[in-house]
Amino acid sequence: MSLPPPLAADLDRWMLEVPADSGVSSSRLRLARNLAEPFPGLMDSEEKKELRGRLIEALAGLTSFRGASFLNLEELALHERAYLMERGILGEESLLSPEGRGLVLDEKGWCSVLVGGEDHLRIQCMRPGLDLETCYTSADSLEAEMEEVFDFAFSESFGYLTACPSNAGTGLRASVLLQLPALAMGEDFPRVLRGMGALGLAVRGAFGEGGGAPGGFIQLSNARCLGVAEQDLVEGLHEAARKLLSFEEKARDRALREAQSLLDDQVARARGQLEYAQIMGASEAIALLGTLRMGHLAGLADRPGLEALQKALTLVRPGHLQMLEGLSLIHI
Amino acid sequence: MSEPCEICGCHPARIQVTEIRDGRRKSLHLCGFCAAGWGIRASLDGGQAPEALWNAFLSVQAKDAEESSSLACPRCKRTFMSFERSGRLGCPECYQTFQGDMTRILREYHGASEHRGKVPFRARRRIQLRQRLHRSRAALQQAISEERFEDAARFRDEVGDLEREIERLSREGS
Repeated sequence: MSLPPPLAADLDRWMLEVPADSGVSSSRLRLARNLAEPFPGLMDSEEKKELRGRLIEALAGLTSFRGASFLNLEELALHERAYLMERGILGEESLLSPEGRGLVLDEKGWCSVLVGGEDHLRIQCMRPGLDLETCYTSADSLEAEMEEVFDFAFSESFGYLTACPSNAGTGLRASVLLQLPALAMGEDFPRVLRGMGALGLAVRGAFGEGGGAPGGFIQLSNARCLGVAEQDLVEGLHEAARKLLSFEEKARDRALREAQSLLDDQVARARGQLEYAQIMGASEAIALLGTLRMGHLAGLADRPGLEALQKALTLVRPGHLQMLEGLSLIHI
Repeated sequence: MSEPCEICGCHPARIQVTEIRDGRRKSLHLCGFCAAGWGIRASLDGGQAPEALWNAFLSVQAKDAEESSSLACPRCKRTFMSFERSGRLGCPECYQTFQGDMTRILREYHGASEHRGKVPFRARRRIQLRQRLHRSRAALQQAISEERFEDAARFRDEVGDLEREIERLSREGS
């Protein structure tokens, strides 16, 4: 089993649907749902496979999944799973422990259902740019269709019941991938992020190790999902993302006013390293490309173009690189 | 782990990744850069990812549990102690089994313990009926306390009808 050809060939096309000057790469939303039986975490490998077979068979009959791919994750190569993770379709757990997990993926890779992960079912929809509203509408209608074949575990007081209580209630986790390089350089950044925490939102560096955020890429998501209706969670995150984007614009203007030579230097260094370095890891490349992109938006650099930068930011990641080259760098 | 990273070969490996495939284990030793590139967090400080927030939260909160500490879920046999260790419940019924502590934990984490928002199609009718039952019971008590006996009789019949209807729906599993 390997990735379906359209998805495997679609390495960067989806990324190019994002307006090149947008500070938001993608929006993502998932709904966690379970059946009234033990969660997959309690199952052994055979039981998980039995569960997967049962759930996939039910999903295969739904109209929304005509033409979809049905994948057993342990049958994909490690780099294929890494590629799906970099696209935001899979999480870390599915990369490292794929056994018994299944993935239903629509033709374009926008909507998917992960089967047999932490929860029985996780419906996920993605869109390029800042578009949580469409993500929710798509996930919601997919879920409505799934209700015809599944009876979801639900309690009147606790809402949808999930393996981890942090997902109980709506089972909704929405997230946006933002690029805030100017803001990330400033002293105020930790304070801004703490402010997001106070709104019940979680922030983390999107590509960095530990708490780092190379290139100023961060992922903003709701940490709480019980006691607030779906629409309100979506709107809250949308507003917070817009606010961060306006902070970024202000930070960029201020940096231009107060420290243009510093900014010039950083952009030139980034270009120099990207042009002349011989060996480079993904995090470093992302940080440098992010700086160059910021320089572009601030009018300090004009080559390569924004679209090329956007494309490079996607393709430098290990899973994408290996898909691009058609080879697996890690042999297990 | 001072060997070089198995991906880039440049930096010292700090993280071990184990993959089990066809029953065979293979370990990879990666540096922080490459591990992060693979999306594996290189340190325990995983920023403020929701998962990290939950784990940090739980390490403080769940130790306060008293009510459920000796209980095990009748459905999946998981104990509250195993939940405290792993941060994960065994089955949906665990929420009912550990209700007191779950209410407290959910309230502290989410800032609420009452769901608002979407309700499954199948449960919608039952929930609407329960809400009506709740209102009729309150109206019945009110009528009795105000000695409006004709009204009370009407509310009593209403309560009976609703209870029977809810019972019927529960038996049908919806």
